[in-house]
Amino acid sequence: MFILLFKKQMTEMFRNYFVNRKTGKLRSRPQIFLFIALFVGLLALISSAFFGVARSFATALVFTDYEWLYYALLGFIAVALGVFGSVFNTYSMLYLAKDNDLLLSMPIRPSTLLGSRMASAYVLSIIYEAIVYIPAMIEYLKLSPATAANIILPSLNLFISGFAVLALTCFFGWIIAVISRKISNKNIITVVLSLVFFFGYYFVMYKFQALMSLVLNYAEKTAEVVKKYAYPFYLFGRANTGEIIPFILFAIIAFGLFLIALLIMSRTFIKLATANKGLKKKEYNSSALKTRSVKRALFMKEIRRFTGTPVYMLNSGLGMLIAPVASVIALVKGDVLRAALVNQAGEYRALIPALIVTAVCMVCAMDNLTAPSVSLEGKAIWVIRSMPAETKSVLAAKIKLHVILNLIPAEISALLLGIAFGCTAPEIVLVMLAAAAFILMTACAGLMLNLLKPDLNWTSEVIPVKQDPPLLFSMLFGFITAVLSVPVAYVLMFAGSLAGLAAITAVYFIAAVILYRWINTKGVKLFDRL
Amino acid sequence: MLRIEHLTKTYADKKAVDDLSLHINPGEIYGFIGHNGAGKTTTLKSCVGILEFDEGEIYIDGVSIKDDPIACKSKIAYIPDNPDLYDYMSGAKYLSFIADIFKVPLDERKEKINKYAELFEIKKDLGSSIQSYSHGMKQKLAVISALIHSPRLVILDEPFVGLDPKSAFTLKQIMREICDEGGAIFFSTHVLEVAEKLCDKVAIIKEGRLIKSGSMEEVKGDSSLESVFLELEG
Repeated sequence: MFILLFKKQMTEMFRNYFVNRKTGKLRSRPQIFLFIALFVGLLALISSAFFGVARSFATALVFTDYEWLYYALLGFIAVALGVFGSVFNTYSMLYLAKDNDLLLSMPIRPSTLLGSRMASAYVLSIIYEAIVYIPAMIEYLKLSPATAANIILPSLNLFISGFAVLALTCFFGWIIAVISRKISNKNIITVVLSLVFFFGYYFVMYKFQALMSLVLNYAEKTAEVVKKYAYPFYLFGRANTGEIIPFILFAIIAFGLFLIALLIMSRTFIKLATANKGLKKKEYNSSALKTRSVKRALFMKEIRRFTGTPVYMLNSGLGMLIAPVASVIALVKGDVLRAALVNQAGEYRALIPALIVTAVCMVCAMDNLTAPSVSLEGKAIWVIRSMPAETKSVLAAKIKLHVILNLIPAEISALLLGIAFGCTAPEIVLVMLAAAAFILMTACAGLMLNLLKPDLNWTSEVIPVKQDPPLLFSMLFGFITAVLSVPVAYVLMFAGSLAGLAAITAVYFIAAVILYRWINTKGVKLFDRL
Repeated sequence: MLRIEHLTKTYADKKAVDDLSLHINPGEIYGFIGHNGAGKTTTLKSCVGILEFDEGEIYIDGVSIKDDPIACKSKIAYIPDNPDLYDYMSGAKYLSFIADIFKVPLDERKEKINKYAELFEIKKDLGSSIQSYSHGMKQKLAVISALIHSPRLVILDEPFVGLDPKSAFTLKQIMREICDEGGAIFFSTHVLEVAEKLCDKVAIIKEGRLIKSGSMEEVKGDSSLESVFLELEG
């Protein structure tokens, strides 16, 4: 039964890579290969960022008395990423799955159901952990002579530490579920907790350079602190350098943590999974009713979907918060940045506004509200399909949501960054226009991708919001097109910065117009066939 | 009110509905019965413009659903067999959203919401999120949302499933009222006793083909609808 349920979970998570949802048929081998290659490619891209970090640590710590500290510190980063990356997925997967009631009504032991869901969360944790772990192993083995012990033990430890990560994510997920049960507006608590996690993580990342220097300059002191206050990481570090006793002890701790988490959760699983989602009854007030135009009503529906679905807000709306915060930092630290970039740019000064466009667009590309928006209609699609509302208006409301929510923070960012980097007024105006055109283009691209690959049969919103291909492809599209401004500006450098900016704005705008026309013709037809 | 002419819908190589023709006049409650998978839901979904069909035509008040779906949809209300609604809205917001799409004036929507919410005993829950509703409450909300714009034609797929006896009785009364005011009802059901008592006309569908239709008396004669159905379905 466990295997059956685990397979169901895995199929749900990765079925888009193997099965064409429209036809229900297995994809061809080249298609499967392409999808998997893209997924692995994206992971490798994210992972590549950690090679530099691992190299700095390895150079400073390998061959010292604190060689274990290398793996202890990188292990900490891997665990943090694993927990941060999968805690809300785990919460949704365990407690918010739409098939919980159905499966619990079947002759399936709740512990088996819980176990299968935890096993899926374990797979996710390992994927997140591996993003840091693999570069850490490679960089270590580049410097330290490879032995059976320092290859086998770290390899095994990836999977063992996965249990500790799983225990932590499950524990945090359990806390969120318990709090959500007691609070009437669970969406707010989920979002607030997520943001605390998120900004905590980014604060550490922001301070990472300083922390890294501190740790490397005071390796002895750091080693003492780790040994005293984070003993499992000490054991983890020792184990990964090839020591068997610490390996066994760490494994005991990891499995022990996992067993404690399992025990706590299995006692409360049914109660939390079948709870009435912590929703308080509210009095109906007829005087609060308002009339709206059809277009406005459709837009408000999209707003409610966005604000009513924490996982949607967190996965498709974080860039909106990051952009202005990062820009304020850039403005405050303007002098330092200007000294570092503007003053040394020389003949490449014309590229600076294009770099700002890239930076703003990269952050905007993190937010794609349209890519899961069609799939999120789910089984309630009949509502909109049976209403006398033009499909064009339905789709336009989805684009409008993306544009309105992204435009203001992006424009603020463009303005602040423009000022911070000493751009001229016309340059700032063009940077802002380029960002606006980019947002419109990515909104249309995301919607187009979702119209081509809709998924209405999900059991958890996590699937359309985090795992379905439209999201992956729209992010890739966003990142690739975001960096276009620099080569365009470089090619047109002889004509000045304004020419480059005007050209990239035109490219984004023309692409947006083409995509918008596609949505209003073929897209409408595709939606009408759903 | 509703004219279905030679409707044919094929999924892959299977004909779900095959050359089906039906006419439903104002004032009629028309029952649609058949086994699971006989093609009832496909027919109903085609009538409300959710499903594209391969051949034939469907007219609502003389207007083709293919040519002018928006005009047709403004006269129809549809309730599916499984009321998946917008879980992220409260009951009141959902009803107001539907009223916005159908352009129901504020006073009228307030009056209708009050009236039907009281009839279905759901008024106190309208402020709560739909996520917290039971299946029956969702069904009641779907029924109210279907009635809020005073539709001329109501198409219902298994409307009594999930409703408590009192609400089912209320719904039957409302169905009759709509017909008395010149509207029409087309609904599918497996509950043959309900169909027999409630419907003016009935159609029996088997493997996508209409095998019998007409007034209740014509279809069942001196027997019960159940025995006729079982005999025809064989």
